[in-house]
Amino acid sequence: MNPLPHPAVWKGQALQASPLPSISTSFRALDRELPNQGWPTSTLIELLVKTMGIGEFRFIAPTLRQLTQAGKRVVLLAPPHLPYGPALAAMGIDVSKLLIVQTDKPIDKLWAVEQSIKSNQFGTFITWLDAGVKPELIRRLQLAATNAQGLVFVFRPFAAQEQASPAPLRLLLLPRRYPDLAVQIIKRRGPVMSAPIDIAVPIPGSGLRPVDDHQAIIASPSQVSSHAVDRLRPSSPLLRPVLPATSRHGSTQPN
Amino acid sequence: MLLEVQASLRLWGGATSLINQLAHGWQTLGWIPPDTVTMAWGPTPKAAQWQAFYASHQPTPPAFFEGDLPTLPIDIVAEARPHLTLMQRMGLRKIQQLEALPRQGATRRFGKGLLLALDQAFGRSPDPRQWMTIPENFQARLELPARAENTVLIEQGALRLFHQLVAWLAARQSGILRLDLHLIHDSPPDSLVPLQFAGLTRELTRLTRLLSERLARFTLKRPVYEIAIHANDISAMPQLSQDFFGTQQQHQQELDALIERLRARLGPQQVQSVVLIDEHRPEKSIVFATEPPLKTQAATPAIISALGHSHRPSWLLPDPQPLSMHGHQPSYGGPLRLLAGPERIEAGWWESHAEQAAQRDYFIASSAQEELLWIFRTPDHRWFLHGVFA
Repeated sequence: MNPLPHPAVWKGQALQASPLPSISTSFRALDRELPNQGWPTSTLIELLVKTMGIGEFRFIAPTLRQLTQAGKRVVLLAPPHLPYGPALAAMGIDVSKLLIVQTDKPIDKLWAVEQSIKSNQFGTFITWLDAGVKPELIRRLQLAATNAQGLVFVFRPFAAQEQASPAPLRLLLLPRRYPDLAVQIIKRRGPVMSAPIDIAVPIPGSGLRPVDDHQAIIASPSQVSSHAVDRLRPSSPLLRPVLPATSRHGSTQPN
Repeated sequence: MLLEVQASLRLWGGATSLINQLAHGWQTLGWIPPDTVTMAWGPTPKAAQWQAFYASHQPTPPAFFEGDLPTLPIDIVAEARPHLTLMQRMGLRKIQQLEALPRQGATRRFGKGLLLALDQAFGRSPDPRQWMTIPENFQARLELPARAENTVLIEQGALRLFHQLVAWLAARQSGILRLDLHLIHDSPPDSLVPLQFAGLTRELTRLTRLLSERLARFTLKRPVYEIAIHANDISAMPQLSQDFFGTQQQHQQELDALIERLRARLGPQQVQSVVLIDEHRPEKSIVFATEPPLKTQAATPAIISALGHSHRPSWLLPDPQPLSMHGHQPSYGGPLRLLAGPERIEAGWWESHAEQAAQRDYFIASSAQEELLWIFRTPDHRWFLHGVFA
């Protein structure tokens, strides 16, 4: 047997190495499972999300941080809500490198993708598609992505996993208790992946400050004292009692 | 104002005719000779200037003055004014007397400038002047070979005009930000197709691409007989040197081209960049800039570093969404579990509109589907969803 692997020969158990460059996902456990140990460029990457808000954006944020800080631009095409700049900046993403394109019509989305990919100005392209999107659109997106030098991510609803997709890489993002997120690769150039991997995607910053008394907040709002301002909630600045400095101390409730 | 007329005297039909035309021109501009405008001429720029100055300081200034320069008083010479008292004591009254002085002595007493000015006025030494350049603009018209009822002919015609424009711009090393295409019908008014570029350009492909995007969305109400392009904002744009690796500047140009293409089809408001603002109310701390060219800020506002200890969601709902209540418990597809908080944000009480003021306790909550949500409670115990930690 020839000990040197031939690039055209690929064994069923091995991940297929592609000649295209790849970009690390920043999650070592996931990198190991991906062909070429990272996000493949010039490829449509489908991310199927159970519900929004399970950490799907924090999952790709390390990649975006890496790319924007290297001066690459990121297009967010038709994001579901307003991308909140301060939070993205806290994730280390250079927000001046973001370009947001708003459009509803799928055909305009496709056109925008094709235009952006043609100009090759982008490190990453991220778009969100609805459930009712036609398979032809995905195929054309995949065709457009093959000409891209960067990464092309598509967020799709969970139901889309039942449909066949021309995307060479499909990942299922499953909710787990914060700060975890489960990732299962349902399609890749390689063997089938049996179980999802859990990765931690905490919100950047210091750890969450736990709620002191859950029941108290829910049940009787008036008992909750503010920690930001050391006085009780004034309903209106005009009605705020004017207290002398000494007695003011006594009115503050300990937290 | 100085006019060099020698070379074009014949064109204007001689000196007298030219002066009459000029006087008439002043009148149409609202300056009536001789009250506000005095004209004079001379063989050199300085000679003309000095005579005009002399004439305009007469008790009754003439509309046109023609005098003998050497016999005029010396106080019209700007360079002589610092020395006027000395010259008067020396008995110098007229320019010809200055001329008669021995050059060496005059230079020693009055400096080099005076003699140089006199030399220039009498044409003994050159007096180079900067030509005034009128701001440039480009206009071209083209009669279409046939009456155009669709945009195909217009596009072909415009391409010919664009070729002219691009050559004209290249010769001037300039670029344009805006271009107006006028579609001329059989009767006025014309239709106008403005092309707005995201950055300076003189690239033919960029012009034509943007035009075809615009025309594809343009409904032609009446047939077009003629087209014209007007480019008024011409700015200097250096030729890019070709770089093997592709320079930053080239990238910027390609990006500009992309943005203007996206804008042309999707609408100018649909392509945005993110600008951060120092403000505590979340909905006010971010602006989506849509102005061409897209502005992006270099410095990070203080709010980002201040946010190091608190958590913000990656998606913000433009308007807080009221949450349904499950007894006292807020719910969003099932009762919500509060993970962290409260964080008090109280700002905007200085605003004139009461609804701008925010007094909210923010919590991070997780739903039954493990969605991480950013919710807040108002003082009157109503709960709202304001963001999603995606």
